[in-house]
Amino acid sequence: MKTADEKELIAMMVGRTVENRYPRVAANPGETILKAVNVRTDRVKDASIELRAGEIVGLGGLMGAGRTEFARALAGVDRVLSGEIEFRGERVSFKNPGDAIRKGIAFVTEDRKSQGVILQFSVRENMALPTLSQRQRMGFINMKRERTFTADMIEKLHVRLSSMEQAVESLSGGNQQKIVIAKWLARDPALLILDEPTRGIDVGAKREIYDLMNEMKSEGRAILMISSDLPELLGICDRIYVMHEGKTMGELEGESMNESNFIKLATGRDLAWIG
Amino acid sequence: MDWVRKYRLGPLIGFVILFIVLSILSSQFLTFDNLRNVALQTTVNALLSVGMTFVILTSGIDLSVGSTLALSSAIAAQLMVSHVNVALACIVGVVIGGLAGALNGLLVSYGNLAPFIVTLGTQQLFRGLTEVYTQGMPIYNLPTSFTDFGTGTVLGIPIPVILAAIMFIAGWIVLRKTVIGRKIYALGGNLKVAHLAGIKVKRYLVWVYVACGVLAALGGLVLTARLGSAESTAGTGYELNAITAVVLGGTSLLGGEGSVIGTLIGALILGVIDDGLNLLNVNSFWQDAVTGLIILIAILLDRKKSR
Amino acid sequence: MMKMWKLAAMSTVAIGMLATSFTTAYAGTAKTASVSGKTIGFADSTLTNPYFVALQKGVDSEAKKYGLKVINDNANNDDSTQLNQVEDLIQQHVSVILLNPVDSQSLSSAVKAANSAGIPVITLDRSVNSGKVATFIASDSVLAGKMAAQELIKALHGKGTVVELQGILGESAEIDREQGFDKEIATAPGIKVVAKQSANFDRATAMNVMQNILQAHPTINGVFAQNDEMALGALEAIQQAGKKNIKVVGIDGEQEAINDVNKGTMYADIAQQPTEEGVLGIDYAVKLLKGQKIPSKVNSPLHLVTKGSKFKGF
Repeated sequence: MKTADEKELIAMMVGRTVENRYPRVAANPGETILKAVNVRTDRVKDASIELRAGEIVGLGGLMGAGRTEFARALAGVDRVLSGEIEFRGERVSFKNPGDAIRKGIAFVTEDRKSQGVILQFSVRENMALPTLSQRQRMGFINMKRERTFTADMIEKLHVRLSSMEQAVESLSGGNQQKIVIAKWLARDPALLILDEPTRGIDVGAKREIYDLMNEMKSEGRAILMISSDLPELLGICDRIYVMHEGKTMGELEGESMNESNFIKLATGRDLAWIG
Repeated sequence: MDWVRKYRLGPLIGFVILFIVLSILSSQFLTFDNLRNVALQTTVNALLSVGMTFVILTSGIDLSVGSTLALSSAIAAQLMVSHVNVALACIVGVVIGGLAGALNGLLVSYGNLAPFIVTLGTQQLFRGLTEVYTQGMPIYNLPTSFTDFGTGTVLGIPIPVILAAIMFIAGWIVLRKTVIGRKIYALGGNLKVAHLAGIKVKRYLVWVYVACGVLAALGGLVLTARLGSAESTAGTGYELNAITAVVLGGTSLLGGEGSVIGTLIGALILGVIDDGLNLLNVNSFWQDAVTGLIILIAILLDRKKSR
Repeated sequence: MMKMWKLAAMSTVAIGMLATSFTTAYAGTAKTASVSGKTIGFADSTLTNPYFVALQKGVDSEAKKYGLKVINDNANNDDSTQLNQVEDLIQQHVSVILLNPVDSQSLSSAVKAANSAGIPVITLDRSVNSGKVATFIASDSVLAGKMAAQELIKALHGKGTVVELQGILGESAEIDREQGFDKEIATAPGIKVVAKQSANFDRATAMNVMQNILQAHPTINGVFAQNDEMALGALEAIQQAGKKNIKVVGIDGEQEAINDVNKGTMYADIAQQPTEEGVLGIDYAVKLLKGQKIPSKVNSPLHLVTKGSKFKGF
């Protein structure tokens, strides 16, 4: 009996060899896009972060560390009780997701089926939702432009489907995720927050999502990725912030970005103290 | 049968079958006068169910439309008998309907309360206010310039039918062609997704209930003009007729799915059933049972594949 | 010490309550006692119908004459509400309860409760199936139906086709009016009832139903509506269809219908007199309080209204 190693197993699943599971593109960080200092919400005690254009930053930590909650605060979903958020050099205080969206923040939520897509709606209706106002005249939707737009996005993101009128629920998890990313990419955001973007999707689709993230990175967007998959986080991100019990414990970059340091921070220990 | 489901032809097929059966059973059914009557008799329910479609698309429900109808028409009628300009009185009636809807909408959205509970309460509230206002007495001797609006015709078509047709077309355009309509579908389809997509869901919800109230008031004006009097009991139970029309038309009570065209067919099915039973002089004891049976058959025709 | 005080206070209250109940009982049987100052409870079914508003007016105005106090309750056509209201009236020890029951079955238990509390009950317009009722005051619905039939026979000279609009199926007024009408109209062999449809005692429904019937039977000569609301709805449909010479007869005596009779658009109305019914309710309550014997059924008068009669509706 032959046992397959991970690489072979993936090759068998995808039908081709995946040379590098975590393709990394050299970072070329530009201006600061988002700077949050001592943010506190109902569920976040004290979190700070800085994101620059053209980099992928990870937000890690154990379950319940407050990562999603911090992301929700940045995206205008949860109310910020204290602390400061600066977006592209401007002090901001979002009252609702709409405020954040208009400034250029896109938030791809963790729970795709209940917060990312409207399952019974068609691919077209889902993709068009955040950008409806861009294809309207006097409140009327330009259907022709909407179909062209959808077709373009489907092609760009390699969404595999039979028709754009197909209900999203009939697509695979990976393709559903691409639709969520597509609808936000259409807003041309300066910052994309991706909460567990590869959870529950197959290896091939994961790779496509990484490629997409790298493409957005080279386009000069800032990306904040939350993930519970540590190899993925270490493999894709340029820097990682680690949270523990509602606080950002520290930042890992370059040499220091390894599993043991991550675990130390994630379990609430100080790097300098333990070394 | 797949294409029946795909294009949601169930209600239409049900309607056509009913139409053919009645044409065979009654020689008077397929006459211009009778069909005009059916259209005229359907107008009030049709107006209410356009508004109800909007509300149900947001996965809400409005049980107060019958009471809103009574309240707004009683106030409009009282103004008319007090010699206030008829057009002004109608506008006041419509505004009252809008305010009633706004109260529902505010309680549902900003009050974060279940639409069923809210409108169950306002149903009683508005009915009570109507009773207090009218003291239980009908308001009649309305000016003919107003009642003409209920009985008059343009090119042989009754004015209320024209009004209802305009509202249906407007409702269809809003829901199918505009950004507003798409957002209404979205917030009914999934409130969280709509909210995260930046849609001001609360504001939209309020306006949807306002529209429903306004349409209820229009229904009230039509009813009052046709009857020549406003009564505190007017519209009792009409909410159920409107909900039935919407559901018959294939709109999902879960929200996000359906259309005003379906609702129009649903309302017409109900109107045709009432008319047919009268024409055939079906024993009164049997009428409710027959109506219920036809409704169930129509819903079965539209049954979706089980998921 | 505290206990003693409490006991004393409680017994005082108890004695006081006993005393009042004794005096009430005594006053109830004394033939010469004045009834002034006593309290009557009136549980009305609804105030959304002008008929029952008029009933309450009759009760109130007659009670004033005798110096009686009236506690008015409105059950909004809900039987459990009315049950509670009657129970409250019993708690308040009213001298007589006037009851216009929402439902003849479910309000029977309310009457029984009053019976066991020793408070006499007079039912108005509708009665209950069980429990002891001092008297039932109502107009005779069978007679009203019969009178309506007589008027239609007269109007059509014994020949023609008529339509009957029924009320809410199963309600006693509907059953009795229909029975009276059907039996009497059968005595005129030249008259045929071509359609019999329910319009739920409702004006808007009646208008639609009548419109439809006119499609099926465009040449009818007469309409019997089991109440005025339906007669008014039918009249609206007839006028809008441009039909003339269809004789409409209704029952109730609503002001609006009386006006139509006087204008000649409606042929006749069999008027009940709810105000009179309310007055009778108080009159018989007073008789009870004075210890007089009263019959178990009192017919409230019906009034035939034809064009030119001076009758005023409610």
